[in-house]
Amino acid sequence: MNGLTLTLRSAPDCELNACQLGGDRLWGDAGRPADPDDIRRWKLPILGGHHSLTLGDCFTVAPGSAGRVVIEGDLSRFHGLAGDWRQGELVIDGDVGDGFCSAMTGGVVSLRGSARTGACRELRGGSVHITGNVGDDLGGPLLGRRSGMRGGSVLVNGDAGQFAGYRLRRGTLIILGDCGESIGCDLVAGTLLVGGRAAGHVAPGMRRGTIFLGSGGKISPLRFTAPETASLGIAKLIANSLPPEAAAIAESLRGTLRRQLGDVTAGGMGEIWHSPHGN
Amino acid sequence: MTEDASRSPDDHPAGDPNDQPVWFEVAGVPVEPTFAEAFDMKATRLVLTAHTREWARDAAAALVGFGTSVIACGIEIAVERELNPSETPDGRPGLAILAFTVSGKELDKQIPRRAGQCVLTCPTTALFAGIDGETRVPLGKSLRYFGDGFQISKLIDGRRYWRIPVMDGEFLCEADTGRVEAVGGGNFLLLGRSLDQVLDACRAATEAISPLADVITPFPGGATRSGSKVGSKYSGLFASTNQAYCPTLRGLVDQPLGNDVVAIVEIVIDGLTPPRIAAAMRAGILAACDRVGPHGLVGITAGNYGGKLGRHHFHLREVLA
Repeated sequence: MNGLTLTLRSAPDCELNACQLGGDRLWGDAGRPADPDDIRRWKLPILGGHHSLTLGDCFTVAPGSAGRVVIEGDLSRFHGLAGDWRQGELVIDGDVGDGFCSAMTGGVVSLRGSARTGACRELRGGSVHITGNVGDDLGGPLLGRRSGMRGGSVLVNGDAGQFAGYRLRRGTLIILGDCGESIGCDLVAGTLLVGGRAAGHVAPGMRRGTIFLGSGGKISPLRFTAPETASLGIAKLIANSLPPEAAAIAESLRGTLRRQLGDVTAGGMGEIWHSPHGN
Repeated sequence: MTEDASRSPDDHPAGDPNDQPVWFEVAGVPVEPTFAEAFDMKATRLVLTAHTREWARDAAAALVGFGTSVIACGIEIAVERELNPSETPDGRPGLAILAFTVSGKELDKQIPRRAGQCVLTCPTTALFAGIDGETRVPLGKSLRYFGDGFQISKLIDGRRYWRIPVMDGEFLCEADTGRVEAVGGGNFLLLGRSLDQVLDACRAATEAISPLADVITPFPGGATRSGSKVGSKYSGLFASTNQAYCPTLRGLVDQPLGNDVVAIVEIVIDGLTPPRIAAAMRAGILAACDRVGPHGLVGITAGNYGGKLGRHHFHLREVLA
């Protein structure tokens, strides 16, 4: 047996801490999946309660395709899924709760659904693809911490909530849809690409790093320099590195961009690029 | 290729055939069954791009200047080939440049210095790594300080790039490039019946080598007339003219040359691997022989130090087999 498939029996009636389904616990020694009997005994604490369910209470555990863990079902009440994910491929078919892929360090995670608040917080490596939408605080810091995402790449096909890329420090965050307010707030470095429109003010407190806005956003003239037209080699390199889903962004990056620097009120020299054709 | 044991002493390029191994022929041109002696070197490849091919060529010309021989330049560096926009990282016209030194330390010294003075200074250029290698040679990693704090780094697919603000926009430069083990000093000598004919043969040889990947001919026009020997009568000189191959000294010093040798040029080849050098030697010799034939070339030979200095021996008989 080289892989695992976990299928949700029925949606739980309580919120669960699903951190057990993270790290490299699902992969036992020598990269083989853990013993299904052990997995069934793992505990999923009930959030706000004193009890736990076992994983076997919630899921059927069966062998799966090689090198891959598949979790199926509506997991929107499972929080912390794929937290600290370190290796191998994880495919989740269904929506997930808060804190999805937090502090992930490696491997490839694919979510065919949407994630709630705090997805990819303090991501440090690996690659995440979310086909649906994500809630607030995408790629931000873990609670009580200073740095947001510090590596890896995240692709969101849908929309993102507020504060996407808050304190982003390294790595690439791609949102093909629209974003809520204050994206790139206090952004330290790294790359945040938005295919759609950003609501509210963009990037207050930005220090360094790069934000691309496909369809514009509100950029404070007090915080950012006046737009200058530029054709940047680095933008072409970024375009070449993007996945096929982000073809529209790549096309814009290969052309002439308008560029603004800031947040000057925070002593920042980050850059916001937008297409001359954006609003 | 045919054996040439029946040639008369007068015809023999090396003068007295009784002391020499049997020469063989390529396209009617006698070839001495000797070998080229080459050395281990360190190498890297750079990819230089610019807004137009002309600017890329201008920057490359400066970058590879004074880079013919490690003897005094410290580096042997030349354009490997021109690159189409589809072959470069930023989709602009560019060139691939190969550089060879005797030590990694020298490469680390030469490359950033040349990149800083010759590429960073040239309008619209960008500089990228052109080869993988665990050991790295600094590029933007050193040059970024020119940005005086306004430089920006960007990590894309595990490769770090530096963006340095300059007066025409920004200079984009990869942080470092790879360093690999390589071979320098593959060579062959064209023994000509006249200056015009040997130069013609030389051009044919370098034109044939020019499109080959992983090799360069670092001397001007791909050839040198100043073949050297190790040492000198003057202390402090590492190399001096090889009088044995200077036709104007005929009769004055011991020479392996026949009377009909009027001029000699040497093609020197550096390459990333021995097979690449062998292929380049073969292509060059065949092209030279085809171009001028036995009426233009008295013979072909190769330079070596008796096999004592370099561990790579390119035997002409094997190279041309």
